[in-house]
Amino acid sequence: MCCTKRHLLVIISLVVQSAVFGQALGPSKTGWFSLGGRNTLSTFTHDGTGLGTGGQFRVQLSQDVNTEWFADYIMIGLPDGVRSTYYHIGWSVLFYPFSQLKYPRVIQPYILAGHCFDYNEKTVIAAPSVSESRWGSAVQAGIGTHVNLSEKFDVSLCSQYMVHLTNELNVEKDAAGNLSIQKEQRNSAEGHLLITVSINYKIFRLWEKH
Amino acid sequence: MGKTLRWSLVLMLYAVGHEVFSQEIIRAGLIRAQLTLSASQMLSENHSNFYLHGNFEGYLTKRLSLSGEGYHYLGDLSTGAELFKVNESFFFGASWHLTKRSSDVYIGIQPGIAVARLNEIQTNNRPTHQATTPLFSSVVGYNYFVNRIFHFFIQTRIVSGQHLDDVPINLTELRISAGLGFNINSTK
Repeated sequence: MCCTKRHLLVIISLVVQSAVFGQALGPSKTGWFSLGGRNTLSTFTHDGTGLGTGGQFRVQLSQDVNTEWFADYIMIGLPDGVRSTYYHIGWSVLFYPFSQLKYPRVIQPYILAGHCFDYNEKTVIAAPSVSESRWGSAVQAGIGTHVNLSEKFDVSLCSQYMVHLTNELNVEKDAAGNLSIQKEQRNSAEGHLLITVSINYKIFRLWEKH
Repeated sequence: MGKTLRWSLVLMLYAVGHEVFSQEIIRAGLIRAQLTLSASQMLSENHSNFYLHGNFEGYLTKRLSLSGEGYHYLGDLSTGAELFKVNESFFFGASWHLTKRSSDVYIGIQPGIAVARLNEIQTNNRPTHQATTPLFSSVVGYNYFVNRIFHFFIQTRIVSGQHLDDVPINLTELRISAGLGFNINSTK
């Protein structure tokens, strides 16, 4: 009985190993350069919700690892008639944890993390001279999925949390109701949730691995 | 001699007609373009804008196309003062097509930007400023390819975004375009 159990365990482990490591990976996806456009919904804990437009390109490093280089232009309407404009430029590494989930499978989930530089400008809409800006850096991480509509084309949906480490800009209102924008003296960490939908097309291969 | 010429003409017309009407039109390499008028209804404001709408689209496969589209603001159909002095918008995106013979139904998403400036009436005659605004848009449409040169089309688009200069204005808008477009198969 004990022997049967051991044999069963060996067989199960062989089957699992075969399923995990023994699958044909198909044609290599390494080296693909893809280009695309995107919309980002930015939900801030203190700034409110805004919409962004941008673009990105990807360079796939291996079957399981992709890189995404992006730029976003995001605009948010704050209470009291203040406009907050964000410019993001950064990169993320995409890791595909399920190697069997790739084209021709439609859904291809991934985990991502990366860095970003950001520029924020806050302006009182009714008095554009009341304006302040700052540069900052950020890190972001999240999850997403490609929806592979063809071998070369995908729509991707991604949700990531971005934490800024910078001198944040605060909108202050005095007793008379006048608005001013103050730059914090100390660095602080503040974040926002970014939900991005993007379209991507693999244009050419930068290198080919056989 | 005259008879030969006549027969040659008939044969040439047949060849051209055969070429124009008989081949599969909707396939990879199809390029289509159009220029038409587009009417709209803003969903948060009581204004109906109209635009000159241009489109250029390339089919990467029978089901997938990439397109760039632009709208030039021409005026406001509603009564009362115009909301905008300038309201241009530009989109780039992809569409997914369901095709059968000459019919082509599609759905797509197109991120974009608006370049808009309000009418001074909206700010009590204070000068207004031009602002660039991020836009999200999705399209649903139908093309009917008459032959290898012409097609009829109808497209609806929902646009969302917010103009945040002078006076904040919600740009959410439903746009409808229809008309005659031109197409060509760029590959054999």
